[in-house]
Amino acid sequence: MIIVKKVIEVENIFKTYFRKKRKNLFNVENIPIHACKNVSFTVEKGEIFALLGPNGAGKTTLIKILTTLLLPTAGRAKVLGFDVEKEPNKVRQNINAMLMGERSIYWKLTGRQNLEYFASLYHIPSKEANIRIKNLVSELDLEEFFDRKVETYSSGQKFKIAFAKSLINEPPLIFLDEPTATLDPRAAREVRQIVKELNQKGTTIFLTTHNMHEADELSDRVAILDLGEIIDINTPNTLKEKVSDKESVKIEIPSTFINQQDWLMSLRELNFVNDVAFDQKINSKNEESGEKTVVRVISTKTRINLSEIIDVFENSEIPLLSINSERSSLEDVFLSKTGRLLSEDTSIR
Amino acid sequence: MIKLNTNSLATEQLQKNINFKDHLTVAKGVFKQQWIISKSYIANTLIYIIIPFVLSLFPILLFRALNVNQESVTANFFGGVESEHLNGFIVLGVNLWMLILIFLWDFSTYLRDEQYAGTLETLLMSPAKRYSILTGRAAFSILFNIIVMFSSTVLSLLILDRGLLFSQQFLHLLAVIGVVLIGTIPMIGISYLIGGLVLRFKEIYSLVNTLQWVFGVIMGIYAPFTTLPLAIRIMGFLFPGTWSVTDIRALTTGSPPMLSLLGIKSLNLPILWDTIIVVAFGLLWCLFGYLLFSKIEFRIKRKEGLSKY
Repeated sequence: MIIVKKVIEVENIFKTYFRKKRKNLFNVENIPIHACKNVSFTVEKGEIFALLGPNGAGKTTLIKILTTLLLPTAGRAKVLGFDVEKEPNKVRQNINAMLMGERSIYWKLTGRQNLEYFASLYHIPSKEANIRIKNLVSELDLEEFFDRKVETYSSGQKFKIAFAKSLINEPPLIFLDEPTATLDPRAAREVRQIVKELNQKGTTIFLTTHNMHEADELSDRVAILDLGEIIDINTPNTLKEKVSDKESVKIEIPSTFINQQDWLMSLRELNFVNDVAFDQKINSKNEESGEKTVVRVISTKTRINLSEIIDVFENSEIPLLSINSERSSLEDVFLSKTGRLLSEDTSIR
Repeated sequence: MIKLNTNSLATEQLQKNINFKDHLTVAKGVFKQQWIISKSYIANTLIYIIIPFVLSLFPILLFRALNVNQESVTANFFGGVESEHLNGFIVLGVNLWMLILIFLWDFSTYLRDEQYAGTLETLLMSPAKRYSILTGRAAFSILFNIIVMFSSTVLSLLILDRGLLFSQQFLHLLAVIGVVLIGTIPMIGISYLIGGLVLRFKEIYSLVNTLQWVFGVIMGIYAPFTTLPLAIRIMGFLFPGTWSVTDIRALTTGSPPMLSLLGIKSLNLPILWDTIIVVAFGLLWCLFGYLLFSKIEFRIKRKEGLSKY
């Protein structure tokens, strides 16, 4: 009997897409997009393994390869000891996934009808399916809305049904793609709790996220993915220790000043500053000050040199809305490795 | 509490043999799911029932608008078909035409709907074999469309030609439905092929729209098979739909069935023999359509994935 200890083994996976660009009426140019570049890692049985990276890093591509929805351009991947390319049916029989959240279920069916349908797709006889569905209803607290059509559910309720669907075959390994991306903070907290409980019962969980707090809170190990490449893998604490000699300062400035980048140059010229990045897309709105942008500065001895950082902004006549020194986080790890923030969208390259 | 089989992960335990019953579970599940979803779109079903009636009205009203002598039209029709139920036969023809078009579109529409909803990947990520899913969907489609066609025919005949409905000739309809049912098998095969095209190409509907007219001509829907040019007749012989349509025409108008047209006239029950050939053809087309669909699916997975449309 061969006991599987490494539930996922990924070796030198490459995935290249080709985007067609019309040069003229008759000629089309194929532009290669490298979604995964030489990706290798393993996931141990019982782990929560997080793939952390910004949008467009290649997380979904990788999860689709592991769930047999895509074939790699090169390289090899095994899930539960089965090759994803040569034995896709054996992989599918033993895994489940929640890839598109609430869009992975049928809105015209009730929660119960959805679970019955997916049970049939996993070859579960109706008697056995009924027992499992009953367990899932009580475990995930679905009773209140279970027999209503999914189209009448809130986002959180839809998520719960999608999550229940991914447990219907009692898989030893579950893939979750951005599980909390569309949820409000309360629902997201609830989901994280469910994921933890599930893992405590022995299920291996592979999740992708661009939320560093989620990766930090949930995972035993984190792989940081950027532009299709894994730039580091380790436990969250070990990753954070790598930047523990540095401190992070979060500064909020009005977004209107973001285009005059002389301040950015001045900050980078300071000899104690390691990295500076700001969120180029996501701006939060403040009633008093309008749109604001978060600037993140990683440096050594920040607190001692804080006045010099403030001077840079003052010299550029940029008002500071807030300034906070923070403990190092996975965001800082990402920033120190890539010079960018996790919230940056890298999908067009 | 959720009980998960995770205490040990031996590869032997993870390898489950899928038997016939498992395939049946999938097909039943898909059938039931499609049936429930179709109940959410009652108005859509009603439109499917009404459309053949409206289409039948066009030629009937056209005769009246042109002040065509009804008696000479009926006599001319009687001369060819030995039936006075011209309106009734228009209704039957339109329903048959609708049914064949629906079957050609059916599977591709199903796939595209799954893509739009975002559930196609979830469906194809399950361990259910593609042919089990396709069987469930085809079974639903056959039952649903036969019910729609029968309802539409009866409704249209009640309004446009009650005489045919209560005549002996109506009993022929039961035989016609049998031939139509068997004729759906190759249609399903062809629809797999079109389904593959829908997955492969993003803007496919204009091609499918054109194809349905081409298929219609080859199958002899618009004009009897014997009146077509030789090249189209040769293609038609290889196309199972032509056999079904010719036999339906034979059953309803008394024209010769397909084997008779090929010169084999000494057979007893020629339509039965034709039907056996349609079944054999149908199975071949299903196999061909399925293999092509699987090949296209594999190519798409090698490229950009199934969720792109």
